[in-house]
Amino acid sequence: MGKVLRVNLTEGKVDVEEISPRVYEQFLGGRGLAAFYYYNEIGADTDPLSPENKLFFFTGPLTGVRLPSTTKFNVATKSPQTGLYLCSNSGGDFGPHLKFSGFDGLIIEGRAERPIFLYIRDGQVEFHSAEAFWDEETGPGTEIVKEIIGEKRASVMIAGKGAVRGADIACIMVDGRSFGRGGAGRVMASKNLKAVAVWGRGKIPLYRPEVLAEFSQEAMRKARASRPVHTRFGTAQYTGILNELGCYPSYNFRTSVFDGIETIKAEYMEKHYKVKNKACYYCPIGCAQVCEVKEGPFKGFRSDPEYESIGTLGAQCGVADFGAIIAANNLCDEYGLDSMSAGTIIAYAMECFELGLFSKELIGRELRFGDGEAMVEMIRDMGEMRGFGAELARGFRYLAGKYPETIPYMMHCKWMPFAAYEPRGFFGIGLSYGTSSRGACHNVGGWTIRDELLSGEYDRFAIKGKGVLVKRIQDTRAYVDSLGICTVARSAMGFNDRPSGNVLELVTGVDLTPRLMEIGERIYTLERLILVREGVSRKDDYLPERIMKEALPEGPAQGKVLTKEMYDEMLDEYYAARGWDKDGIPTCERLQQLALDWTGQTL
Amino acid sequence: MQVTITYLGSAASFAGRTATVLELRAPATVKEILEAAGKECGFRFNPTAWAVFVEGRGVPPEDWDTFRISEDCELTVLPMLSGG
Repeated sequence: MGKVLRVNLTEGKVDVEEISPRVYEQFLGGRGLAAFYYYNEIGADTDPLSPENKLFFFTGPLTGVRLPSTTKFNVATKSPQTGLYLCSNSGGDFGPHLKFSGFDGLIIEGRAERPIFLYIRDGQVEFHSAEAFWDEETGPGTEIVKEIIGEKRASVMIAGKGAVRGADIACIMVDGRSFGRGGAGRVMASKNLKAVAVWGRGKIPLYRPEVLAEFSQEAMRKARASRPVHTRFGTAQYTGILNELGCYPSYNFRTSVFDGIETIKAEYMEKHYKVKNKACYYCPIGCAQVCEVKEGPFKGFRSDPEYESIGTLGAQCGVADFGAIIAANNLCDEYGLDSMSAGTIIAYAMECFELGLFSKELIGRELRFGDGEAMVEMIRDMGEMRGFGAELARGFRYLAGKYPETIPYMMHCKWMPFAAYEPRGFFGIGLSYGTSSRGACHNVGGWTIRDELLSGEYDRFAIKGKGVLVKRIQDTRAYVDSLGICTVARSAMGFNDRPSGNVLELVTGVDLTPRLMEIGERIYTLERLILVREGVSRKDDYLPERIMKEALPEGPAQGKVLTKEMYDEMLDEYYAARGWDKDGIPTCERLQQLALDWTGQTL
Repeated sequence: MQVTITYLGSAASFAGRTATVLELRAPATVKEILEAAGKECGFRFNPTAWAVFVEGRGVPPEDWDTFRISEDCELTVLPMLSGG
């Protein structure tokens, strides 16, 4: 389709641009295109909250096509939480409807004079005032948007109260899904942009629609048959397994076996809280587990917590009350906060309180590990941006400047809080965190768990081979994120590290399948060039001291620690596999091989 | 030979049990063992959705019908992990 909608909020201007086929062939779509535009339009010194920062939203070639879970679209922007490049993807219906409206991408730049929202409908853009509901939470705010535009079926992406009040960890909520990490919601609010709604009735042109329809039927069947556990339990399925393996991070990564596991496992969730499944656009798996608290202090709260939210709001905070986790997750969604950052930051604050580094007077309450009610109230304070909550919601980069004595307790890479995977239990995931394009992230950095555990080729406590493994998984994920599909359903369409099949050709008429891993590597390398331009090098690719100096105290991984020497060995192997120098800078030779020499960055 | 099967994590919910012990003729492939386990618990473990360790080491699905076990061992069944 090739059209990008560029909206300048300062001038109230809308332009439609075209993307050349050559750029699509090099960067595919979604995450790849977002990185390409970011590289070309955002400077190293751009302030994340200035009008000069931009939000680059892009769909992939498969977004919105009738194939399993073609729900995804991506955003790139400069993160107010980390101060660096941010890429993020979201489910929901927005990506498909943006394409149905006639656009592959949406770029937001400048800053509106007063709070507004946009409505994109069949190729046209309307500007509406958002002053009356600027401070509204995401759920009610979404309903207000739909009421104003008179279209209940519209998809809405929205910044919540947390974003408009200045939380740097604020996300963008999209139909109950989110661009979760890194503060994209805060960027949106800094532009006086409350929401964007979209509704499209167009059709996506397809190269061979009849053959595609047959392929789709079979792919839907395969996706459903291959993920029964996702349908029944969602990503919560990993909670019990990782705890049994002794690598479920708990109490701010002080240990990796959670003593409260029985009441936060997937089976407990199913028995006591699950109400129904929820599916993203055209997904036969429906992995979201809608849960409701039926009794107790959190009665009435309803949300669909993922593995990460359960891990960070639960085990990381020592909280074994699943009702508290549902409530906290619900509040994060309504305030529009990244639940992963919120949980990991609260866990840090809990440890600092117990060590006497933060007082009750500073925090406004006692904040101990295991106190679910205090954890939930802390989320409220963060969303309302009041008291100490306003400081926590700024994230680790801010907190490190104000409370440098607490830095040893911050679990982050490049200021992005850790996910709920233990690097001392899977050494490869440590390398993923350290080398991820957006700071500690198991998705962008590479989810090594399956390969380290199940392939038979790796020992999760071995060093050799992990650099090559992490690169391979990162490149795979980079192209998958650029296609516009969900990673849970991708194997049903032949999208793995040896991509096969012809679905791309059936959709677009161009068979890029044999080049997908090369495209993934190009995207990842471009993201690294962005980070290098923003000042990142080897010194920023390390893990916190807790991981590198403190051995796990108990469980099957007792005694394991990922020392600097071990990590350096993995990092050297990784850089070599990537064709980067010892400082983590892509070499001229590798840039030429990847047709990235146009970037002009040389050693 | 005796094969002790542990159903890890959510696999236990599908199998209806956390473990079982099977007496089987040696040698047997992983595929044959899982078929016997499936008959015993009433649930079929297909290779796209499920994963296997033998004595703590992963056996990828493409090897299930060639990986032979000749003596008593421990086999673990768990969901095929696919990202979280």
